[in-house]
Amino acid sequence: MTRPHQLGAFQQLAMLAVLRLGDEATGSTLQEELETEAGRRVTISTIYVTLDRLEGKGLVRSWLGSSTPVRGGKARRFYEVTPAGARALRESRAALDRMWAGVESHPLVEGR
Amino acid sequence: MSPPRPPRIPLGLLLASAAPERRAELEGDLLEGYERVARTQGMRAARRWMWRQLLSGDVLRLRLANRARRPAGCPGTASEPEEPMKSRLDGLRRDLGWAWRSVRRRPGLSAIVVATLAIAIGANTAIFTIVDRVLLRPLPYEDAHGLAMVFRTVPQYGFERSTSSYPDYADWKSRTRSFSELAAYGFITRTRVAPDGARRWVGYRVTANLFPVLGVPPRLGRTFSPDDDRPGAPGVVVLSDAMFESRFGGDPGVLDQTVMLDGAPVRVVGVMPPGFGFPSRTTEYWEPLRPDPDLERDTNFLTVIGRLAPGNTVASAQAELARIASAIDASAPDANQGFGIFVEGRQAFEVRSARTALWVFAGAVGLLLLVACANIANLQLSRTLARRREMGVRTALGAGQGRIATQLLTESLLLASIGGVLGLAVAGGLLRVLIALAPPGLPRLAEIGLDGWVLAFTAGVSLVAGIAFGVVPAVWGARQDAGRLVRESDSGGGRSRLTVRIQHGFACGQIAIAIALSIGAGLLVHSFARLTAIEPGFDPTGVLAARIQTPPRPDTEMPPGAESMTREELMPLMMDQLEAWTAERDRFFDDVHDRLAAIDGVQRTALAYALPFGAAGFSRVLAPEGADPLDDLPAVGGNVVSPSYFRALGIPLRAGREFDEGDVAASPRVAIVNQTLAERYWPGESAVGKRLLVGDERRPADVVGVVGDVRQQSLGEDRRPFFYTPLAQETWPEAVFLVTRSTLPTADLVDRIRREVAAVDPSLPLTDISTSAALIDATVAAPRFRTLVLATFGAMALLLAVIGVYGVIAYAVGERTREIGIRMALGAGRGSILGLVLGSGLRLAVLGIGVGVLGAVALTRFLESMLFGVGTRDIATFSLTIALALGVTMLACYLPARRAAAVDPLESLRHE
Repeated sequence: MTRPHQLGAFQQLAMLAVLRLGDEATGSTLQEELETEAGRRVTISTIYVTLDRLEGKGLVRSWLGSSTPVRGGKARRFYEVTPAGARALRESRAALDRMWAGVESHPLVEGR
Repeated sequence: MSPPRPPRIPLGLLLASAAPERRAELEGDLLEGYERVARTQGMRAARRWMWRQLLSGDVLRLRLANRARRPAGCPGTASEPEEPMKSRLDGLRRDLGWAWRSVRRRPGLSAIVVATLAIAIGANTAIFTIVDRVLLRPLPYEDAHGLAMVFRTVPQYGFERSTSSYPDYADWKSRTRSFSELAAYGFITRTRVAPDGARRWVGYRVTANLFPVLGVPPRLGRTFSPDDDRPGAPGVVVLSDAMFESRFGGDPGVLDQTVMLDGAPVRVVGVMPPGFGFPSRTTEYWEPLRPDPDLERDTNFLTVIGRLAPGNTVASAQAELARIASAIDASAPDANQGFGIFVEGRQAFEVRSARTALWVFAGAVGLLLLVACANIANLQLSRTLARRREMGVRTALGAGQGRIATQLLTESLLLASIGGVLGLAVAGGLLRVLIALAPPGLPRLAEIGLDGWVLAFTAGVSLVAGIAFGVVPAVWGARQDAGRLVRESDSGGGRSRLTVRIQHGFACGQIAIAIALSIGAGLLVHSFARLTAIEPGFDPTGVLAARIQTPPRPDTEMPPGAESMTREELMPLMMDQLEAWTAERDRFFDDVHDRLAAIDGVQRTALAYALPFGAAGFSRVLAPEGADPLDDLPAVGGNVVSPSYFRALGIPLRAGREFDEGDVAASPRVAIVNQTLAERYWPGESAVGKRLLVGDERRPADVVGVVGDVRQQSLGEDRRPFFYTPLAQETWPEAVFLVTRSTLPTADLVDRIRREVAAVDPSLPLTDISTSAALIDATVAAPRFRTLVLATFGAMALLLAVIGVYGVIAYAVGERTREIGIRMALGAGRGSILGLVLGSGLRLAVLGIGVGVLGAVALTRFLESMLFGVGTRDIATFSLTIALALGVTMLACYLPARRAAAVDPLESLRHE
């Protein structure tokens, strides 16, 4: 089981969003980040399912925060990327970079 | 700033789909997102956002995915081993398999549930299909909602949708701003004499802009250009697809072909696509409406339709046109006094006759579905109760409450899906039956068929039904505490008070809805019986009629040298011409009449201008001689008939004589009146021998006879004054009905009549062929259809309610076997046990009926426009329906009651 996890495009986006948000990565902030920065309008359910799945693979972990006065006093679940997750992200990036090499000057994709 | 309240339905559904331990954080995230969107984009956007959170397949996976999580994760702990996707799917498969096994374990019960659902869903789908196609879908024109009609109203006579004159149309068109374009059309028929005989073409004269206004391109060739509208332009026609296929064999070579219509050459320039029938499906062709100086402002023959300009509504167009028209009317008081304007959307206009009935159907069928759902919920609840032990064991073995609820819901959804699929088949069959029975007037019938929309609707109804009847048992199942369950079923304990209440509530609700529906149906049945019990005033048996045009009248030809004559010189010449034509026409009539009379099997023949339940007659201002000339004289309906008319139709003569061969053009003018006219004009006196003044010119006519009243348009109409004049004394009728009474089969007789008429003049087409019985039948087709549909729904609802009551009572009897046994052991007689059970059923029935009657009182007013001779709170109908419902409910209770009374006390006590 040393084969690195293959990450889907949305999984990568979600994990990058978790990293960008640091210790503010919750379902709601992730949804906002994905919409404003990545232009992906997704439902809360999709975020939950995706992150659950990533957590199941050990690429992300989460914990429940304490109750807050905002949002109806409901607790927040915070997410962070595990070292294994960071490795998987890097692998994906590297795979992408390898594929991009030599294509960068292709007239169709140049200067995007 | 108080935080805005989020919409509860989507929020609740989302939370319900998540595992309980995840709900708090999900709710927090949803509220946070909602507030964010509310802050940045406003409340509406926020509400939409919340609903959109539901639009993802991931909602369904929330629960499955959550199982991968540990109860409480904290940073630093190693992640749990992954649960493979396969096992999550296995969970679903297990649920389905469990549901399927439990459905199969009780095949009888499952069959009842599925059949009930199939009927209810099928009926809903069929009615929805009709409502959707007839009322909701846009008409098959470009941007159909932008089309509106402009009618003349004549409030004085109660005309709401009258026709307009060409000058009015032209003035409106040039002044209006609320319509971007106005078009007009008027009915016309022409005769084409082809080698295989003469045929009547039924069509419309239309302004050249009509087709662009409708936005429908031709299938072949072109529609009209503004040049076709000019006076003196060569004649052109556009054919309907049906005409093109049936008369020209679908040969595109028909384009540019010339046909002779009314003896004039016209060129076929286009063919419209199949399904295009404007203004009605029977339209066979269109020709240009040429502005003609003879089209005076008082010649109202045009219907006006237009396309609303952007930003305008029917209401704004109504206001503007009323303003324009009143200015024009004020300058033309002779023609347009007392006229008004009515602008109506085209769609509203086309479906106006069917709208009320269809919404009533939709409401009724929705109620039927409710009854079905309540019924099934009760059955499912009983079934769940019967399985308490199974549930208890499952719970004790560690199945969560959510798990059990999911399983019960899965089972309900499985049953609903099967019911839905069968319901679709039921809907297809029902739709075919409904269309076959539908009155000919039901608009847009040709467009009706099952399609994707309907499939989606059925799926939706099944889903809602599944959830609706699945939720109660599921909630119940989830509420149970495992220990109690095992204990209870072991000790044979009863249902909880809440469960009993729910079951009784459902049964009462079913009775209530069924009663309300049945009372509505009963009112229609009663009304229909009243309507059809009315005598038409003549004997329609064996009467067949067909209309024939007289040979073209040559009175448009001016005598030679007319231009240089004075009016005084010209008039006698014209009169001579008219008399000559009338003589020729009468010879023609006599000839046809004699030939028909000679047919073997034809007992009587007659000629008449109008026909009861067929074509309407004419109307004339009519005054009894000596009436105050200042009296506001009413117009009275009339008919022009041959002497044999009354005997041919079997209209009884009450006084005086019928017309005879002596009543000719040269003899004194005579009239026959109906009883109502005689009583109204000369109350208490004999009408025979009195004199009537006919028409604006007040031409006198002697009343020679009184005949019985005849219903002219519908059985339900009021008795109205009516009068008859002899055909030989009227020069104007240019088309008459040939009326025959015979014992011959219709088809044979029609063939014979065609041959006889062709023998006299082969260029005259026969139209409007129908038997009187069929004509009368057509006028009751709509009420019969409504009655049949609603009566079926009412009966089905009642049947379901009775099954429901039976179920509840039978269950209670089964549950109380022990108690009954003890009662009997202590000396209760069979009669008192019977009374005990019947009494509990009676309580249910009385409560349900009480609520249902209140509902009926509130709802039957929607039926008002469909009732004839019966009030919306008709006591007889209410009482009969209540008695019927009470009777069948008691019958349903009697079966379990008898079983209870037959209980053997010893057996029942040993039962434990």
